[in-house]
Amino acid sequence: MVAARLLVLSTALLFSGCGSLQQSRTADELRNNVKSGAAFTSREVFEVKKPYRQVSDTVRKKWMECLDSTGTSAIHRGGNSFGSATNTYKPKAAVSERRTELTLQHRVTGTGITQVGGPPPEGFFIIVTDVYPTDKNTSRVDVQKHMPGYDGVLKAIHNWAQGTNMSCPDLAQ
Amino acid sequence: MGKILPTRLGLLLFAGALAGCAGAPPYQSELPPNLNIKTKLGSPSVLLTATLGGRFDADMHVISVDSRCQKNYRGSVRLDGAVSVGIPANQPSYLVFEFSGSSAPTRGSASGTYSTLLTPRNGYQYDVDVVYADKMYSITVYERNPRGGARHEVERRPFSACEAKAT
Repeated sequence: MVAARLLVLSTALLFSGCGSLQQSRTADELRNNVKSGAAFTSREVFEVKKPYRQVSDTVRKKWMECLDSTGTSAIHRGGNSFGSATNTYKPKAAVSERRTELTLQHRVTGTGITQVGGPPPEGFFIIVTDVYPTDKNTSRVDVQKHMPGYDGVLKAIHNWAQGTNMSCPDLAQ
Repeated sequence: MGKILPTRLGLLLFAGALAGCAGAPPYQSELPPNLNIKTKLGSPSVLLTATLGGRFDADMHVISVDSRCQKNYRGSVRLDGAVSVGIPANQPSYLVFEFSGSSAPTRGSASGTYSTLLTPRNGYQYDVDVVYADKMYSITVYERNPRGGARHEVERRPFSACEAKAT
């Protein structure tokens, strides 16, 4: 848990300290970064034998419910100096007949922590999930990520889409 | 960049200090209990077990919400097994569930939250099932009529659902 959170935090700081590792400021920018194989990006596409409307409704509901979260991580700054970082996650959804776009933004705040590179007010885009109808009874789920970790989120998206488990991922993991 | 990564990772990997709600004031209420919480916790990591000097806890923070949708923190409840508390009926309370862990070997800590806006109805009971296992959790709220009515699940409401009333 702690190690994973530190990995994410250190990656956020690495992003902030290195101009060539630009984070995504929009959903389309994230898709483009994934397409071009930018560092710390990944993509997973899978199909579910369920109608689009059903998959869209369930995944959207759980996305908004589970990922609207705030977490803290303690940081040792050296010597007897400690600080904490606050991770704020903002999920959003846009639904149409042809696509359900789900985005997750991530913002890190805390004393001495600066996310440079012009983060949007609600944070950089770290995960974009698109749900499409492929035919009457099948849906395609396309998960694109621009941040290491968050395996629990990917697992949860699978579970929600397939309807096997409605638990939420712990984003502090 | 080559020098940045080790330096920053070094700072971060010496994580420490207890975060979360250590020392949070306990929620106290003289209202009859109407919120019954059952909790099952499975530590997400061996580093967060007491055997290795770590800990993993769940807490519920109770925040009252007034007619202008302004929050007022009332205290916290440590979730361990079954616990019942009273929260005001017919007015919204913002309940924030927090899972927090701290590890002695890495001196690090982290926590995550889940929140919902609940307006209990007078005379009704609310059962909350909190389960944490395999780094996943579920929090389900049920409304129950103690006079024999069936219980049903209460949908989660984000704080943004609060509607300020003109005074």
